[in-house]
Amino acid sequence: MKQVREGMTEHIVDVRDLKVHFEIRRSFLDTLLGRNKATVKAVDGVTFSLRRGEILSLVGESGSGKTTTGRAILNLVAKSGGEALFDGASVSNRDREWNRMFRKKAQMIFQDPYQSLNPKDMIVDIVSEPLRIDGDHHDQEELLARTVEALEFAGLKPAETYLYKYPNELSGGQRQRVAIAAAFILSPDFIVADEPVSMLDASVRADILNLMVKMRETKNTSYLFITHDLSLAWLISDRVAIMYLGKIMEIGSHRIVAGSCVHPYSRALVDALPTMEEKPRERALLKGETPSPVKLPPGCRFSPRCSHVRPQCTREEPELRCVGEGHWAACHFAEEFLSKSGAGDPVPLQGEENPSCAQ
Amino acid sequence: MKLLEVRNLKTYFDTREGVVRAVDDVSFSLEKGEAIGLVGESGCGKTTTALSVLQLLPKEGRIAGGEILLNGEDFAAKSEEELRKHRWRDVSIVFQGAMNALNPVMKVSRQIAEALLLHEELTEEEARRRVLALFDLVEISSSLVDCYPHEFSGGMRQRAMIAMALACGPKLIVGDEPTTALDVMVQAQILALLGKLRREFGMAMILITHDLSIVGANCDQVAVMYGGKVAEIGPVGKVLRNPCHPYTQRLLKAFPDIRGEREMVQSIPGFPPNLVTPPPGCRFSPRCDAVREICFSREPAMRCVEPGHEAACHFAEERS
Repeated sequence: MKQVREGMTEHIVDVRDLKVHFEIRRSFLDTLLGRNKATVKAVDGVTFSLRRGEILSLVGESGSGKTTTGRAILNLVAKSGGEALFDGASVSNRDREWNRMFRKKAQMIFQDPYQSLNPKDMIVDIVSEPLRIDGDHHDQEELLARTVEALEFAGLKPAETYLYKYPNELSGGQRQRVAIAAAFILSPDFIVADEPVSMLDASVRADILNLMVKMRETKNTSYLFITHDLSLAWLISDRVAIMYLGKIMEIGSHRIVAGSCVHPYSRALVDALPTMEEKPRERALLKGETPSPVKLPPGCRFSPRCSHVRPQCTREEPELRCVGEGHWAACHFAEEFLSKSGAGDPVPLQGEENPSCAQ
Repeated sequence: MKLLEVRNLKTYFDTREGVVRAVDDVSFSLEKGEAIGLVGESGCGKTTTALSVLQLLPKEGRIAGGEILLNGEDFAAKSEEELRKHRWRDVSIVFQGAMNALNPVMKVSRQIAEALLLHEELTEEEARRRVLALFDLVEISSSLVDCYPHEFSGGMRQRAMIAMALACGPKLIVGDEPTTALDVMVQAQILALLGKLRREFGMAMILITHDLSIVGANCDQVAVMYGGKVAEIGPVGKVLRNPCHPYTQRLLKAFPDIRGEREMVQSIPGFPPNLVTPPPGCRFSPRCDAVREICFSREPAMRCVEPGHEAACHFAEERS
């Protein structure tokens, strides 16, 4: 598969109807009584694509399947259906050469810098490890030089003072920088960042976010930014996808989380955001909590909690539909909400080639 | 009379490295039903301040000075025996991730009933009725009354912890990052619940958070803390709209404002001070972008910039 080269496809990542289902382990009694197997539909038909150099945020509450989606794209969890393509090739193909290339070009940054670094390794080992195992031969001098370069890029200056330290000697922010340096050392084209800043203080968080944006600007890195924080998604991404119970409810420009959303679920999420306004406006909060993904409701999965629910919603599951330029929503009445939200052109641009959502 | 008055509170920790001045001369006060937000980065002393108010410090910690007046009584001078009566009845606390503090092998309702039976003379039956009323108050379905913690979701468990904190009708509740581990929607629900309870029972609240936007929507006052001291304090609207301390100004720039312009957040260069050997003069001076000669030598006093709004900066008035 050597023919897969950069620049071949417009999209670096293409996700088509991706499904990840987990079987729940049954108790002995259930097996004995022949009860049906239960499956958790963690990701249940997700379609989107990521352009080169683009930052797409996956937003949702816990259990919405955002992390599983990210992991499935990196082939860290087996998919049950659909396809995830990287540079035009399926991520689950078994070609050794291709996989070696894939592991170099696609990286992940995890949420918890206290757990993602090996406590027994020195920083120099952690950061240079990707180079040592990438299959190309690098001599000691080159390893060290590139480690220093990566650390300094990640803001750990001078790098020499950090090289021979252990993770426990560093603060949370410094550890996350080390994780970023290790993810960055191979100059990846694509990074899945799973809540990379949610455990950090505001000031350190700002630093890490700026670093990620800088990487995009200098190296044209693409990001799948997984977060539960709508304001962060709004701040750094080009586009945002809002997930609920394993499906994308709405996808569009970053403006959808600032209020131009049309899906009732997105609206509820946006309304739940605390604001610095002194007297916040009255807002209708959703009652209850996300239902279990084991027993999905019929029709629209948001219908049991939706304040605009109508008979059609409990019968038919809505598909993602185009409601504006690059703006898609999975709601039967999206157009109606669109005219109310004042988000712009209520005429759907159907039939047009839309780069934002490959169908 | 104020419900709570904290005057020149000093809380020190004795460690091998030396004495850590985690809270160093902190003062604020709360009226009945009022909410104050304590904000700042990790290690700024916000949690230690709250734990001092409840006298729940770990054994290395001690109150080295100052007064904590609750209803005019000095809390800091009380014996452990006396304190136990006040805790839970007058002040209670909901911790971050408190939902994991429930005993997994005991029914949730039983755990709340125990708190009640310990503090008030009730019969089993009365306690059970009170628990049901509390469940209703925090909007937990009464069908869950005989359930164990693992049958509750995270949000429900946090509600149960709030129910427990409310069990004896405290006048002051401390929320130490009560919603940090929760989802956006559940967070909004819990904060709305706390707000409702505050309005209904005139309960005062100390809300500790690192998220400025939570303070904006849920508190009357805010105290921005830095390096164990209050950098700026005042009514929420005034402090957030017209910050006068360089630290508050920088902190606000580190938060995205989704209702405003999309500007990249900015970090504050440098690190929080070491509280064993804090820098001389203003503790923020090594990181301050508007620093002047005097800042390195003289510690700034609180300066009033408008009624009720104070900042600990030599040049606070210039900035307002």
